[in-house]
Amino acid sequence: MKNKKKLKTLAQRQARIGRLFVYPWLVGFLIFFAWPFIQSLIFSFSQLDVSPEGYKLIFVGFRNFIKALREDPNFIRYLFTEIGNIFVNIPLIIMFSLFIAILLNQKFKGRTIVRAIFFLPVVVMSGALLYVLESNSLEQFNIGAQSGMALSNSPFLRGIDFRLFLVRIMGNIPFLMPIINAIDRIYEIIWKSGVQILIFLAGLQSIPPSLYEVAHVEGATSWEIFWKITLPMISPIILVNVIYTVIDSFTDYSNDVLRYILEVAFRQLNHGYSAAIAWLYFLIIGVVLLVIIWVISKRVFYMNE
Amino acid sequence: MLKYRKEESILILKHKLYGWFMMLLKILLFIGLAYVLLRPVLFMLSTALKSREDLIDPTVVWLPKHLTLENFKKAFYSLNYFNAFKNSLLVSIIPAIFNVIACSMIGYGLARFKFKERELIFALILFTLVVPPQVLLIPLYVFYQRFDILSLIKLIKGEPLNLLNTYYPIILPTILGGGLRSGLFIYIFRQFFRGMSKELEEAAYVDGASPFQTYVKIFVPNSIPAIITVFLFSLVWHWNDVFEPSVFIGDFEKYTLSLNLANIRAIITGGTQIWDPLLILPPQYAGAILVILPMLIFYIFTQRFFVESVERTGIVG
Repeated sequence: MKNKKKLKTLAQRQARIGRLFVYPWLVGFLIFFAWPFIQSLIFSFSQLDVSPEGYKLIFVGFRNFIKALREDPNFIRYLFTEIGNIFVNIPLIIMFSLFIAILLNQKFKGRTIVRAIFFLPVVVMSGALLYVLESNSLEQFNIGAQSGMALSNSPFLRGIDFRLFLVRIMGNIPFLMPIINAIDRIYEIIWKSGVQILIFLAGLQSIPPSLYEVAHVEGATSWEIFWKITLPMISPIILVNVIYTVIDSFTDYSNDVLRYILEVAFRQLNHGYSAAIAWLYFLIIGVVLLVIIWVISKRVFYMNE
Repeated sequence: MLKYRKEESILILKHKLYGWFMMLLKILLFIGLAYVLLRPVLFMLSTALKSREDLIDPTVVWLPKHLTLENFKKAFYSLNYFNAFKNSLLVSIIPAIFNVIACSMIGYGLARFKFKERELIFALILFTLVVPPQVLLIPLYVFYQRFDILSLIKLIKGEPLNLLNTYYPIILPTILGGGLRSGLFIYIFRQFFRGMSKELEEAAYVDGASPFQTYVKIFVPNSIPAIITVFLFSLVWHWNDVFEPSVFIGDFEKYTLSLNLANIRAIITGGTQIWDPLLILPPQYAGAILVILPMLIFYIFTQRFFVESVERTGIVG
């Protein structure tokens, strides 16, 4: 027996040790992820009655899915709002965080303090906090409009006044909508790009300095250096960040669809239907992600290939 | 002192002016952005410190005339602070420790050993990140309600355990490298270990160390930045998480701080729909500050590691 073990090749022994380190994860994955994942698929095709003794399943075919897509007035509306949000937010978050990361990557006095402030959202930001603040500020806007009191001052800066100003000078509202939306979102964007800035910073640090030196020697301007070196070198990280942003906003607590799923499950106690919309939602995220990855990865530049 | 010709000195002056101008622009930009980032915190703080007279007084914007801690007291009781603080600490420190231990071992296995299904497992790890937790919600709820693995517990105790209303649903998966965003942590460790040089590892093997010894003696001490990063992220995310506690914990005594914050308005108003914003908002803001304060203090002491270690871990590589 002992002899047999010694006869194994190095590669085989390596594989065994590697598996020893990794397989605990697989066990956890099967118990806490794969099994519930499959079960939720089964639930989505069923009507589920949960009782203290356990649960009963009644197979109903595609009824839950049909209900979500054709009868439920809320689901489709929430879904499209969220998807619309994502497509507006992604470019804004990516551009903003790349811009800030490039600035923070330079050496200047007080850099530590500035960085500390910029990563504050990563620490402080929680869905609950943002939800509390945002729901308040909307109400406050109404209250403020009524009473003109000190509380009309919301914690979130909003482009309300600026919006009125723009509409007055331009007069053309449909044309202005994207700009106004972007202005209204500035707050959200800045608060949601903490992790993205971190990832971009790490990426910027990994660009070999020799590339920049050569560019300087050749007399390239900062503008050219950005487009010809920084952007191509950082493009794989743009992909990472886009994926992170999509996942982050699709799984955020303040997300309407997610709150609706929770509400259906725990207020209306319609577990089967809740599983069905969760699955629909997941499939749609999957499609959105795949499309985004497919579009971007064609334009990504890898230096080692 | 060196003497320049006239054209040269003009050029130098131009260059300097340009530099100053850019610096000024940068400073302005940073001040503006810092204002936007700090404003909600400052605003909440100032509102929470205002007395009722100050709230109605339109001449008071930022600095309250009559400072009061009334709102903080109210929030303190509404949040059930000491108890909830203890609960929050439990559900963030324990998972963070397990996350560091488990994810670093898994990351090590993935980064340093070759085996056939390695890439498949890595793909599965990334896959867990994409699936929203809500998809698994109901099965997990049912699962923890009648917790049992291979009928082992039934064999010993006669009936399955009910783990709802305990913190086990949040802690258990982290022991095996699962749980809140742990795929990301495994990814960080894997990238970090992959970037480490082979020489040390080989030297350890030559000296007769086993792979596990090598991991403990060589890889763990050298991956301090990654360990700090993962610990901080895990701690902060678990502290702020509302979703898991809100599903698995129903007992008010066991609520965490962030969960109480999400419900604070209902707690203050006692569930009535009609309420006076002037009465509710200041304590609500005070509550928000009380909830983020521990992480804020923690962050002030560790932000150096936070920023620098992320750079050195090479999340991106």
